[in-house]
Amino acid sequence: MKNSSEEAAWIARCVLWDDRRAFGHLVEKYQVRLRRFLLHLTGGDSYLADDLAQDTFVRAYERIRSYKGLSSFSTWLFRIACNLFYDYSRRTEKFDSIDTEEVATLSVRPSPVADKIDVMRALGTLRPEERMALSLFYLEDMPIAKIASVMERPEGSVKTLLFRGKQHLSEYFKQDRYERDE
Amino acid sequence: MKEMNDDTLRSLFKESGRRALEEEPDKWFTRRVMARLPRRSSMARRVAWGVFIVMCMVAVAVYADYARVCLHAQDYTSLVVAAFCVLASACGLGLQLNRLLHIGR
Repeated sequence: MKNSSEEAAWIARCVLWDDRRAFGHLVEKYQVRLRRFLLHLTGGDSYLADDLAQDTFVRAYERIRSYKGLSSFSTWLFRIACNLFYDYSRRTEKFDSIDTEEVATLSVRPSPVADKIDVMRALGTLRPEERMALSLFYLEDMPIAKIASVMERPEGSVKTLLFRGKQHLSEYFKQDRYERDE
Repeated sequence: MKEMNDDTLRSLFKESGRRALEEEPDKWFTRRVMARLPRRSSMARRVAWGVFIVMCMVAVAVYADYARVCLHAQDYTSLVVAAFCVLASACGLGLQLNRLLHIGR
């Protein structure tokens, strides 16, 4: 309760007084979650994830006056991150070139489960939308309705993305003999 | 063959997240973000500018009226003293403006 009122005060100070220190508190509060999320979206590319996280915060600061408080601040922030990631994906077409059907024939095989499963690398083989849905669901523990709000998609579409993403991940981990070793 | 259920996947994601980043916020990251934030006009700054401009206009109007009276009386000493006073008040206003502009920084 105290946290949410504190957060509302920080946001109000940013909107009314352009208070950068208040925004600094928001950056400190959300940076770990956001950077982890983006790290999973970028397939473990920490430089790219940090760049996108910085861009997210800068854009949030620029547009904080358009934040109406209809959703939580974290939902709004993650929506910005997703949009930036979409833009990046479209710009580079780095991720579009990866065909999910190629998962089964990837030449670079992940390390065995004994060496810990590389979730980020596995995510790197999925479509960006699937990555987003899975990361928000499993990493952020967001309910489907909230994921739909972040991704600006209908709930049915999010459920489909989760289902397909989970299937592709399972295929990838099967390759890794995860089931046998477990 | 074991199926990957939600709990297994959740624990894999959580473990992966924990390994990737520490729970504590990175101060360098915060500094980099703060350095990139754009400067923009806030309400405080707008108010400060407004007050500053009004005060300057009042000072100029008072000085002009006083100067008119002094010139009419050919009292040039008073005119110079008044000019000095206006200059001093402008410096004071400038300092006040500078302080106001740093609200929230």
